[in-house]
Amino acid sequence: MSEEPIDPDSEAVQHALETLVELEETGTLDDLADAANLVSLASEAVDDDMVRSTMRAMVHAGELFDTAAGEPEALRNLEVMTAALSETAPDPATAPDQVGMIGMMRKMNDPKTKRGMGFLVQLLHELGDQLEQRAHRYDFETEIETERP
Amino acid sequence: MTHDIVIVGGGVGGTVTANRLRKKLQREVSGGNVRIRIVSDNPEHVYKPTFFYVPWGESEPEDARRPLADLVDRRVELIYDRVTHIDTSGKSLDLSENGSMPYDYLVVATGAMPDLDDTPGFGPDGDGHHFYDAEAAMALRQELSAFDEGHLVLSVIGTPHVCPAAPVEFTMLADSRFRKLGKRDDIDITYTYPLPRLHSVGPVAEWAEPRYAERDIQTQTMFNPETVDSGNSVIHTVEGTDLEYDLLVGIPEFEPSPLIAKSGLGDTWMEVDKHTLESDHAEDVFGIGDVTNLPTSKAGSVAHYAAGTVVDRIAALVRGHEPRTIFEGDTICFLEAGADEGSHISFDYETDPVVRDQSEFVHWAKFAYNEMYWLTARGLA
Ligand SMILES: Cc1cc2nc3c(=O)[nH]c(=O)nc-3n(C[C@H](O)[C@H](O)[C@H](O)COP(=O)(O)OP(=O)(O)OC[C@H]3O[C@@H](n4cnc5c(N)ncnc54)[C@H](O)[C@@H]3O)c2cc1C
Repeated sequence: MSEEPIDPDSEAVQHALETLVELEETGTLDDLADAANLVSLASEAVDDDMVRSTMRAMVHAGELFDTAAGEPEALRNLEVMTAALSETAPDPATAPDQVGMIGMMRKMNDPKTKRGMGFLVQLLHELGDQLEQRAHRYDFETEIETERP
Repeated sequence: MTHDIVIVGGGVGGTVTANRLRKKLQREVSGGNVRIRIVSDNPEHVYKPTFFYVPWGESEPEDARRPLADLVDRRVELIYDRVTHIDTSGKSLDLSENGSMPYDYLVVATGAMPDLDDTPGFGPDGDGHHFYDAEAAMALRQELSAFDEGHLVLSVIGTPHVCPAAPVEFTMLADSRFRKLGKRDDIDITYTYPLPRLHSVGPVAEWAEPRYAERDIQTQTMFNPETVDSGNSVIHTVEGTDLEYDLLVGIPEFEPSPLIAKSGLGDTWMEVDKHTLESDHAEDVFGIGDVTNLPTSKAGSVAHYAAGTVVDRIAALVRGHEPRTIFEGDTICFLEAGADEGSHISFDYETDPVVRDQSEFVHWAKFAYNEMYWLTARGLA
């Protein structure tokens, strides 16, 4: 902050006044004053822990979104899964009939069930692949000589 | 032909570079034409600014750490090993455990470490405290929690050090915390600096001066500790003055990994062009962050912005274009003013530093940013 006295005739002061008058004439100044009251309320009500915990939750959500944004194929598959979930049953009270071993065998002749199985079997394969790769990425046991070169 | 891009270091600069490169070169990476790999000697990513709050019990050491694998895109290969030598003519790296690996483009982001052995007040006989790693910050927390009266000295012993604002912030925070606890009348605080003013960045010195005076914080400038007699708790300076302390918090000098000098990338710091960030001594080698000799502060913001430049330049090279993006020296640092207020300072190569007015909002912005950092590391924002 400059400590010099303010010259009321200076260009900067005149310019600031013009801006203020314009804000007053357009009614914006009242809106700004209202907004300032809100800000002031926020500054009274908020503390460090609130900022930290809210941000932490938002960041976790942000990470999830970021992951999704990098996996458009996964989103597409997720849409297929959510649609299938909706079609399977409207609610637990009206769930599909029970199926035993025999019923299961019979269902396996249904081309659509076969198609679903194909998807699930491939999903299991990819799950195994990802687990293998990720286990390596989370392997903290790799011993590195403690001395820096 | 596959382009091998290798990044050394999984800190701020290395992680942002890897994630942004993956996003930028999405087509090439999924087509198998580009392979991005990070080599880091720590499988965890450490966000060091969090350590600053650990001595005050406002953050825990685990808040500063997350597995690199949580933050780095799955299409970036992670190799946990230490690089022991860079052969810039043969374009390969020697690793401590895993032999050697080739590169076409190399980004060095190995950071800086405190040189405690050569800083008076530290080392085996020293009783100086600092907050530049988790253990040290916890040890300082222990001391501060039992410190009810006496003389606290914050001494900037060595330069350069990372985060230019930290010594001033620590002093302001100490004053405000002790006031809150009602102990300030029994605790004297002295801040010392090796130059004739309070800070190497002029506007920060001007900002601190009246605030220190208001808060009854004593200062000593042109104060260069030569030895610290921990038995008698006295600092002896090159200038011939002595200063007694009850609790010494020292800012040690920082140094880069010896890997830089050993690999011919600079005498101490890695020497790079301040605009293109290319090594002065080797082709297709870039440096970012604390490890470089860039004429600006050693701050997270510098590593972050420089990463953006390097990503654009490497992407252009991979695609056979002339790289155009340059780094203008953008630097932003928060400045905690104590009493739940904060300020910030920003500058670049062409613009002189300006310290903004302090407010409660900037204080929260710093808190918010420290949380949001994890999104930054992922290459967002
Ligand atoms: C207490 C504290 C407070 C701070 N506060 C702020 C702040 O408020 N604002 C701000 O902007 N900045 C702040 N900083 C500075 C900021 O943390 C650094 O500027 C930033 O971390 C630099 O990033 P970097 O990528 O260059 O290095 P780093 O983040 O230090 O990362 C270096 C990485 O390289 C790895 N590595 C090193 N050598 C090798 C090797 N030979 N082989 C393989 N891997 C290697 C390390 O394990 C590490 O993962 C603060 C720093 C500290 C310590």
